Amino acid sequence: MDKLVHPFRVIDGGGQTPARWLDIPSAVIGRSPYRRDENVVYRIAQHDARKALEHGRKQPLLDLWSVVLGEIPPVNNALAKWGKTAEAHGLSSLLSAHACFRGIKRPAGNDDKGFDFYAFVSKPAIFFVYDPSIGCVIKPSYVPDDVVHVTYVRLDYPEGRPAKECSMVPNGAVGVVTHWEFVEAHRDAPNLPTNFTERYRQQKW
Amino acid sequence: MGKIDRTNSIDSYRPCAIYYEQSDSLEYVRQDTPVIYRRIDDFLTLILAMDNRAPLGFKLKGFRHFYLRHLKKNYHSERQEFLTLVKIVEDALCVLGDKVFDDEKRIAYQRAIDIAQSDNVEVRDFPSMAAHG
Repeated sequence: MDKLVHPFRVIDGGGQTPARWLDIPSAVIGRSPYRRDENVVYRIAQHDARKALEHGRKQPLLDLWSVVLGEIPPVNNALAKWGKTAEAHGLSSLLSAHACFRGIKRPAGNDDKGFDFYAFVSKPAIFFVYDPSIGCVIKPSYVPDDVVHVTYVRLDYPEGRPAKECSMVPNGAVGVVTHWEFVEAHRDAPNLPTNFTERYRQQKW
Repeated sequence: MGKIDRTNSIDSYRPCAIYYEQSDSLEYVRQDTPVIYRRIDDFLTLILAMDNRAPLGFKLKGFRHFYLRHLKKNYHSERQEFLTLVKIVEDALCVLGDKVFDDEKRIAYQRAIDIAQSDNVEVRDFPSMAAHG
């Protein structure tokens, strides 16, 4: 009888739990696109940030932690070193969004017009950058005054969830955070992205 | 935090064009530093250094749509492993035609071409759904 050949192979680091900062939270609390005073939960799309990281690009993930989640990225010693500083208190999250637009006026995946994407605008003061030094590999940095941050969300049911259909996810998330970026602020409205009327279809609040 | 933190062990950034599925964009950036995104039109966004606004790269938005309608049909065969990023931007310019007529847009597209050309960027990462479609 032929012996079975098992295709065993060594997986480097496969037995270790991932470092905490690579363990991206599955959801984040943000504002409802319909009402600014209402909070909702959004899932976080992890694939793209991980893909960037696979190529060695860390900044998108640091931005996610410090500007979308509003936390000090949990790398070694970061909390001990920066947790009690004034900078740490300057962090803000998706919940701090002060404006919301619908429609990104360009195709995105299966959405030909990007109509079901929502852009949440915030104006964070602080974010974290990768800057290895003794004791910690990240440090806080100030966001320039002429820059705002935009977090893009795609709703699961842009026209509202059908009456009989319950959320299939335990946290009741209503959509997914797809990507996030810093953009220049509008000259006459420094809390909004430049040319916001051209970028987005309509302002929700 | 007793666990091993592998922040240092992540490879240093090797500039390459990456397709991001969730935002449906192909992005090339020279450095892993804080950046801002300057929208040029509904297809091109320049990526600038946050501190001095030097151009570091660019992003092609709605890339899946563009890939399916123009690149896959005309250039990208099953056997071909990559396309050059210059070719992709130049092709986009042909498709957009008159829409890229004003100076600001033309300069931005030229800047993207210059970056792709001087860095000799090859695109090997394509929309997976489209690639099999």
